[in-house]
Amino acid sequence: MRITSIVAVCALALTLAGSVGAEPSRDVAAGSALFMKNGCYECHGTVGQGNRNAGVQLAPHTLPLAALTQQLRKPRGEMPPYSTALLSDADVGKIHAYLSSISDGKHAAQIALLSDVTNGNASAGIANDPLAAGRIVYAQNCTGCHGASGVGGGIGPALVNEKARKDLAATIAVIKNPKMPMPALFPKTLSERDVAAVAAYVQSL
Amino acid sequence: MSIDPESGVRRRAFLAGIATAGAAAGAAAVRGTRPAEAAKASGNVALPSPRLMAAETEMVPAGSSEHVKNAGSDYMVDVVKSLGLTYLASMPGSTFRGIQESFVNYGGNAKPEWLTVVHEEISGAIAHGYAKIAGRPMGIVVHNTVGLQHVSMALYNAWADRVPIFILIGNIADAASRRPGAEWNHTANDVAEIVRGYIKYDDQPASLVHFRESVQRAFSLMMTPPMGSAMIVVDADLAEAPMTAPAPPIPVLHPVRMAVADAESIATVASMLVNATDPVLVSGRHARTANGMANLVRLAELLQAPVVDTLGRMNFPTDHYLNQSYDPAAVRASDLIVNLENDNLFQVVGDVVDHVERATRSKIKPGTKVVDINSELLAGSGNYQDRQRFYPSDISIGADAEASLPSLIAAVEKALTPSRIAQNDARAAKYRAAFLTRRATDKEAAAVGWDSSPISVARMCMELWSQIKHDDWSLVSQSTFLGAWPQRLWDMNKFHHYIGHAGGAGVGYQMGAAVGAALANREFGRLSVNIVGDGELNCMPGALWTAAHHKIPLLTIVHNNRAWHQELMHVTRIADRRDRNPAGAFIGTVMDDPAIDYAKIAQGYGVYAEEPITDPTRLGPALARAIKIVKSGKPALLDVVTQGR
Repeated sequence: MRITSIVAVCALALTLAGSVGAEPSRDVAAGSALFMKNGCYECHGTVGQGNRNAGVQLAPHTLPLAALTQQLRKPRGEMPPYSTALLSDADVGKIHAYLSSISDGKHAAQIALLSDVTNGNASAGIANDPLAAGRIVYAQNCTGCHGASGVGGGIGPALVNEKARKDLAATIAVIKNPKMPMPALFPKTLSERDVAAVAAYVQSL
Repeated sequence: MSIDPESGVRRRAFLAGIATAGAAAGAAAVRGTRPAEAAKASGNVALPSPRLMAAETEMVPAGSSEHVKNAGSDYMVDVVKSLGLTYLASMPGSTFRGIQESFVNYGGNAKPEWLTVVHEEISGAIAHGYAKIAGRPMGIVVHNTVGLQHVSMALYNAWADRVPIFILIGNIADAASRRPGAEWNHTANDVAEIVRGYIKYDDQPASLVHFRESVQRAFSLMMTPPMGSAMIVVDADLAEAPMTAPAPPIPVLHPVRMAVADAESIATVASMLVNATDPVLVSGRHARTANGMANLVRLAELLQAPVVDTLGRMNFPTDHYLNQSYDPAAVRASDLIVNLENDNLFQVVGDVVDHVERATRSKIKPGTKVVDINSELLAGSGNYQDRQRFYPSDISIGADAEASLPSLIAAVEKALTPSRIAQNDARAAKYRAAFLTRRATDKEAAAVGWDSSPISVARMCMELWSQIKHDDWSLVSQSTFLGAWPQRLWDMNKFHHYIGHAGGAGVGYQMGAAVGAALANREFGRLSVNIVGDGELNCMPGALWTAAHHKIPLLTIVHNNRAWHQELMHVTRIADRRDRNPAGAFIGTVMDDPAIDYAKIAQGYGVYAEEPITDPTRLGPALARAIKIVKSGKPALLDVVTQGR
């Protein structure tokens, strides 16, 4: 893709996505251009949506800058490394600014074509699923790093059998006061109720 | 009882068959009925046409030097008709002009009907896709040397996908009868050598009896799992010259029975499945029919065992809670894996990571037992490495998995104990919960970037799903580069809902295969939908013309990311490793200057198409218009400018 095309796609990403601020700052615009020019979009999508077969979701709920930098310099999983020779720390900061500017867009429940998706024949045997709320909170906020069903996602550790390592109270505490590189989603993104629900779900894995 | 020394067929019975049916066939011919349709099979012998009956009882003069009666290729057509093929796909080539004329005039251009195709590789891909829906092969006819060179990649894909294609190829064996020039260029002493590494059988018959025997042998071998293609070289002189002897009879060809696993092995595997703590069933392409799919559901439900479908075919419903294909936890926790016709067992249990040092890693815990029920074990191959990396299973059973499933189900039913059955509720609850989590996760993942432009692949897939889910639809393209969104969010629960992938991962398969599968779907009135990458489409856009010409209803959506995106990612990865400019990867991997207008290309081939779509809100209405065209019996194409993945 030539530079003119990259710029065009950046402009589209910034203006048509509907999930980016109306007047992006200079760093955000520069970060978007760097995100395209360095090929980040190839695996992670132009708005950081990720892809099952290529790269994890990067936005919304972007990793803290230090964690993003760490992943670029010494990646976990199959991601190739980006040294300072390719991306300076300042450039990484601009990319981080771009990803962070991508706000929490629509959730599945707000999109008719997704809310119509069935649960197949899975619901038949579960009259009252006590973990339903936790599943959804997890799906919306945790899968990108910890993988579906807590199997691990290349960035965050696997959470399968987390109950053997932490009880419910300890799990809630970690979610509320995470250590690097885990992002702090409470209380801005997750409510007390969300944290309790997702912690109960994690305990079930 | 007299025996034909050449054919071994009971000659008296054959002639008696002619005597009883000859009058009826003759009357039908007078009414205009096609000879081959009038001549029904009688006993174990198929009756020949009136022309061949005449040849059998009274020799027809060879004719003058300007005219030929009783051509050898007429008999060849009767032999091919004994296979029950519905279609032959072909781009013209002079080396097979004799048999082409016989198919369309003598054979009445029916069963098989001649499909006009603009490139031999398209012929191969159409036949590939057709067989996966129809459950029976298509024939293709190719020009010597250059035609076979063109179709060779399509044959490789079909080989690696274990799909049979019946191939006829022209040739002029006798050097003295070749005209100077192209006829020499288009002849080879051993033309099959080009493709012999990826077909099951070939022969170069020197007589009509030889032709009949080789064709029927070819078909039997093709249809024996692991299935594969076979090629018969049609000598132009044999085809174009008049027959000099009575037409040899054509026996009815009875289908080959599938190899089924032996009772002792079945009992052993059933016992292992019942006694395992966390058994997992893996299927690659065990389902050859809807029955194969239904039987895997039955087996999985008996055991409440999760299924991993690696998508070589439509093996297991995507809306069944036991489908755990996208949850690595199932394999990771398993103590027994039963692999059914999956040709890449190694990738189920392990992987090789794309790092500088290509380390092998395991995906299973130590001690996990592996059983392989696989017809792959019944065939050898040498040069081409499509068999994937070897994994030493604990039990390997060389048998067809679909044919073996009924006896495995019966053995499991017998082996199940009350205490084991009592575990099933808890197992079901576990997998229902895992399924619900996966669906919730996938829905949220699809929502991210929903309104973006280029249009997200998830949105493209879900806009399509919303408009086809109430029809009898069939996805006739592969999900390889779609993030498997259809499998993750669509309810796919019929065998024709998916046709699997290319087999050999050769780019150029998709458009032709979709046309072939749509042709097979046409007789059932199904809505065929095809999501094709732009790189794929560029290899064989001419398949669109065949769809337009033969009025094959097919909706094609171009997943137009304006790149060979997989390769773009590969080159970027290498540049990153070497600390060199990652933007260099754009050279040679993107198609954006100028951007290709696939709608115009489609319109040029006579296919309904609309201008490229970049705004996601325009996609739904455009789909509705295109589907209306398809439901009227024609192909339509939408060019959707998409995210890379």
